[in-house]
Amino acid sequence: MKHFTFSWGNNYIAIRGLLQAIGHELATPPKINSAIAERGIELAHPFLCFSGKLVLGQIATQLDQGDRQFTFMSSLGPEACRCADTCDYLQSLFSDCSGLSTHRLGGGTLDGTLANLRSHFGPRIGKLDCMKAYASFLGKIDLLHKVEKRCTALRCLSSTPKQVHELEKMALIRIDNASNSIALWRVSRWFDLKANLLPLHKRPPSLRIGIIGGEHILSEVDSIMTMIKGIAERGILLEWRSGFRHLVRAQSSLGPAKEKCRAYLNDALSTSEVFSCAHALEFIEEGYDGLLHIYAFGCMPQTSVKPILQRVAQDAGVPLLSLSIGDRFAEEGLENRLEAFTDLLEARKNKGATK
Amino acid sequence: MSKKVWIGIDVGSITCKVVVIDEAENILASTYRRTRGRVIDSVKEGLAAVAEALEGRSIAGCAATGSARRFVGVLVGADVVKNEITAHARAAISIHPDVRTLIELGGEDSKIVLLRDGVPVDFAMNTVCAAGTGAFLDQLASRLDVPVEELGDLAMASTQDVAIAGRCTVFAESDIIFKQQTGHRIEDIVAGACRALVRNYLNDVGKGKPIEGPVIFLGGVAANIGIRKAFTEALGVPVEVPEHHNVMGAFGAALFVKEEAFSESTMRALGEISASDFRAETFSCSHCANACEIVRFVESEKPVAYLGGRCERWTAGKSAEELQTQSIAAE
Repeated sequence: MKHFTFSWGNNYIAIRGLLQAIGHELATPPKINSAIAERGIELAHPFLCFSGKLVLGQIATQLDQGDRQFTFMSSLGPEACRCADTCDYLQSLFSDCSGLSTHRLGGGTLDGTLANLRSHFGPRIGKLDCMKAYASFLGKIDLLHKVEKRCTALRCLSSTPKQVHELEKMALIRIDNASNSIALWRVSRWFDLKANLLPLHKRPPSLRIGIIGGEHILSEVDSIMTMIKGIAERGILLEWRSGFRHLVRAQSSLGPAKEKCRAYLNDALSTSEVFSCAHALEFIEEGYDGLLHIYAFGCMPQTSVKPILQRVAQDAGVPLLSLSIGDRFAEEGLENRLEAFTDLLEARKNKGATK
Repeated sequence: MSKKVWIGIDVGSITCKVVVIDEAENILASTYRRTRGRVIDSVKEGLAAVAEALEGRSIAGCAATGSARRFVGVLVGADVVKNEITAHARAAISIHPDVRTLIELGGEDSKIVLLRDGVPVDFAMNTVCAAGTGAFLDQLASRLDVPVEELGDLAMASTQDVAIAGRCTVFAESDIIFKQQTGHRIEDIVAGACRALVRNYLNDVGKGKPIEGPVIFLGGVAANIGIRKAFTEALGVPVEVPEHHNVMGAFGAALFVKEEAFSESTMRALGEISASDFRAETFSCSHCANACEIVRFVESEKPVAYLGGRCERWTAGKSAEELQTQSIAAE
């Protein structure tokens, strides 16, 4: 059976891996562009965050094409935001769409996720099949994350950004084609070898910026992050630790993260807020020059954590720029602020060096 | 050998500013005019207005800033294209090395820059609302049927506090109508609106920022004495407005290009700019599913540059012939 989903950057590749392991297929989601965004804005309740609107735009476009088996992955661990729990909302939104089936994968525990998978795809799916499906999903998620991070760093460090772009493109195709864990391991090794061969600049990065923020918006590689990653080519090393992989792996790291930011957060705050705060503190400890906070306009957890991040940055004396991504891509405003922020960090660093 | 000068051009949403500086960073000439939606004409007029100061001098560099900086950069052949936040900060440090807070209110945006020891350390800009900007004052002037330049003097003649909602220009206008209907004096309404604008700015742009003196107030809105008074009262520190407050973005840009010390400027001759039939066109790139919006600059019916897009397809350095071929192929 052929399913469809939204992209969340390149993470649909991991969901495709999961479905393929149990004999199903997944259509490649349409790329996010202005038309997709407009479609989502038109459909969504105004209070839904921008990432949610992009997701809706992609779903609606695929429904228009006649696709009816909608499958999406929510967090395997604690939910980070209401966008991960949109199943009921989607069903109500598309209730007049005949033949639509919605399958929500994921769940709090391994047993729960297995039961969830069986409930959607039939009891004849054995425990081993389920385990293989999730192993494929998690293996691909981890490798996608590694490739994205390494390639972003290489955009700053390598003297041949075009080759980095090609390597990333090839790696994504290979991850998508890897049919089992051994194949995936081979792709990982191939990627490391190729990445190690790329020529590097002799100069170190001029700045190091830690990116924190909404996991969903940080996964939007086609739209938002393409613009943001562009600054890496100006010799700026970018690093972020939040993303889709982070959401599905959240369970084990949530406790230490909460502990880390105990001075700033109380127990009422959710996973996404805890990780944003913890990552900001990590970047500060590691001596990053600045913090870039990116969140979708309308994202409740990230709006709540914004003043806390301001306090964290102020206490540490590290510049923080919060960018809310609104109902349009607003490239001009985004570029303006990013450019000014990097100018500010450079001036600050040069002043420190002079002193 | 003729004396060198540097030009800074700042084109924002409402106004176009041009500044000419000399070796000692003195402003030799400046102009501030409304673009009225005609960016190209306003740049041509701006350059013509400072042309006298350029006579007998050689242009050693030109920089463009403001939200139309890339467009203007292509039009005039600027050596440097810089964002207006950095340009204003550079100008503020030049005129007041000890400045700690820079407030700038422009036509449709507003910004705050915090500076310590002559270095910007933090900044913010307005996000989704233009309520704390010059657009608010334009709307107010239009509603009250008074010239925008007179709002400051009217506010200073206020004798009674009138509260106006400043969160949104639409709500503010409703509030102003209500205050007019209930017989409040126009002077008191204007003063209330000035306080509302300042309150909006401090709650939106300045929220959570440690605003410390010396505070310097730049931008066209700084000419309004009522807003200056409202800022001074709200902040509890003096707010300084420098002589050339309305052209500081262009001044900062000129300082940047001067620092670069280019051996030869790429700026086009003034006559060439004024005779140019330069125009911009927009199209959607059909090469991939991103469908990026691309701006094409055309001169003498030939494409001379492109802006936009998420890949290098349209923006990598290309010859005029290549651009022409690319343009034909795209259509």
